[in-house]
Amino acid sequence: MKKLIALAVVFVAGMLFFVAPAAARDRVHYIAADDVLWNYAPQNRNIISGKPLRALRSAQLGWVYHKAIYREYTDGSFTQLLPVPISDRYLGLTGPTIHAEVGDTIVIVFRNNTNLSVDIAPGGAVSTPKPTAVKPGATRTYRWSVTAADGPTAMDTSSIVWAYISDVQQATVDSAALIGPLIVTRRGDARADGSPVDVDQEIVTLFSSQLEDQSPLVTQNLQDRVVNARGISSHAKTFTGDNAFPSINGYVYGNMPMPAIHARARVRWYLLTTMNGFDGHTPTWSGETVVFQGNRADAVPLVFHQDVVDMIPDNPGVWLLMCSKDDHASLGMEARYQVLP
Amino acid sequence: MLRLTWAAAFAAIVGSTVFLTCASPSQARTRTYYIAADEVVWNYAPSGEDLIAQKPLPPLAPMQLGWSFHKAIYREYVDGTFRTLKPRSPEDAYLGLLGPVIHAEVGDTVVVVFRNNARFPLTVHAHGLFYTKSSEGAPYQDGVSGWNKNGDSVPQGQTFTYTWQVPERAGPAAGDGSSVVWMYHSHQDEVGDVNTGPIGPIVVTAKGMAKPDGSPKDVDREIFAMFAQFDESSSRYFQANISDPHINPRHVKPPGNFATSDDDMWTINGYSFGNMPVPSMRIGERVRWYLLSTMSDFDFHAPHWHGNTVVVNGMRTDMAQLGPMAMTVADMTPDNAGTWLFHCHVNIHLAGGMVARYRVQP
Repeated sequence: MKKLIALAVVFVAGMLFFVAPAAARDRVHYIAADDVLWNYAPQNRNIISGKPLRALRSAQLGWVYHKAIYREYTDGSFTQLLPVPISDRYLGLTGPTIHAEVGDTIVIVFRNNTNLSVDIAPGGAVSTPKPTAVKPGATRTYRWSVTAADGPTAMDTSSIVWAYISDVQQATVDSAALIGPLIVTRRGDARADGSPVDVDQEIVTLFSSQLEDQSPLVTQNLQDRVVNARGISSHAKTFTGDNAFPSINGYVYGNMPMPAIHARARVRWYLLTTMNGFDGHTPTWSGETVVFQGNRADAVPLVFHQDVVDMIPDNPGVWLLMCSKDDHASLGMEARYQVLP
Repeated sequence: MLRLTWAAAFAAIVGSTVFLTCASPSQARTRTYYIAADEVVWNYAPSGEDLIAQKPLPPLAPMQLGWSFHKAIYREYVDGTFRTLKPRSPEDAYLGLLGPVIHAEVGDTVVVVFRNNARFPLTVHAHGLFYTKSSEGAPYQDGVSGWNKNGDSVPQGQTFTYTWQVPERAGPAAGDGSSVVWMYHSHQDEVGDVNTGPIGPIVVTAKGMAKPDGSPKDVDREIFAMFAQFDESSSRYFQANISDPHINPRHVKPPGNFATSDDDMWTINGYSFGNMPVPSMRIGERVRWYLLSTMSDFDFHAPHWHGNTVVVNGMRTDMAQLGPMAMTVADMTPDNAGTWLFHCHVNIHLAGGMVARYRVQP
């Protein structure tokens, strides 16, 4: 009998251990806004068609621009970048992925390494203090509390995505690319790293028409003789259109490193977008289908919001991921992804 | 007691046999379609009138060639000789330039024997269905070569057979109804091809929910409507259209490639200003509308039905939302007889002729 009671106690304790939600965590990230020279087509080829890149448009500066992007560092000295694994290189200029389980607090130590006044503000979570412009060179710490109101509803998948952005000025998001994903997993559905337990692999893509003519760094780009080798003037008639880059994670014409996913794995795609008049996208996959809001699809609307779609690949090969809007596709909003057997 | 047990076992066996017979899904089929891309002169407003307002069509825009254009469209033939077109019934005339409707049940195989009768290479690329590289119908750097590329570009006068499987992931998901819609289109030069016209619908019905023809059992009538901004200046016939005096009697020279919107045609199934033949249905029928859109820069549409309501994604509405390359299902059980407007609610699209009618009979 004593043995039985002991067994029961162990059993109940075990149940409690498994059922009780993990204690809320503080998740610390050291993120800087960094000035980089960003190349939309680093392979210098149209990887989709296998041909040379198209000629520069008449008022296009080139393929390389000064941009400000979020990058993650190993600690508060901001001397060493957190290495991006090869499998995540496709993320390009999209900021580091931040995970949280409902109940967690995200601590962001933010350093502004740019010459602009920028900040870092979460969609979804509430930030303390409220984000305001951080002066160049300054560091500030924010606490983002992630409550049930920021997590999935009963109708959502086990995790949803928000964008964190520099909200002091829209152009710092739409044209300088200060944007990254904040993934929030339902309480009790998260692994220790915050990712959802019912998903084997997460892929993040930012579908954005980056408008270099509106960039806060446009003057710097125009004056830089390497960036603007042809000496283009911002008064050129087609300056706006010729310096617009409908891109996926900051890459055009298949220059995005291919994310690799596994057949039969439960793959969740998080789709982000920016908010300018040229945005309004239809991410489209060839080779596979997805489930979006309970419906089967292979093309989903992405207009000024975020999407979560689930895929269980069954078709090994190299496939297209593109925007189905024809002017965007023509301007290079095409990438590839690979399904491994 | 023993006898009772035996009786119970017997009942169980008979019961389960009957159950299995009824519930066992129909045999998986191979459904073969003979589809050619044919060159036609397509008239967006064949009556020459605005049939909604009963007045003449609006005057041509300065750079508009006209209302008729050379286009290539998918058409169905009775067999692989491609000599005899499969007739389209009068009640399906509203399908216009849409290619033949391809139906499949989950578990089936779809075979499309494709003949390219157009003057440049075209393909057939299916959304949603399972294809291997040789049946993708889209040329790009995908790491394969040789025969795997054969379907990526079918030259003029050639025939290619595409084989597509219809697994579970091509059919309805948990939140869908008994059937879903996909598009098939040419993807040889995707932007040019879609504006040129070869596009059609595929319906995939859940396993066990299909009639022998592949359409869903719980639907009495299927209607297809494709909302398309055809940018004729991005069509692969653009130059041919400019130089043809029948198409371009005023000899205008539009600059092309998104540069003007004068040759953007605002259409439903390839018809503008109410020129679409009026699809007809009856009160009380379970009508499933399949809504598609193409991929032009302003292909953001708001299909709106007058007179009746629909259910989209479990919610009641009389408006749907379509972005580029949308494939959406709307269910309607009409209760209101009459001839009703069916149009895009975006102002400039409506003004540009993206309006049709449907009829509900008592």
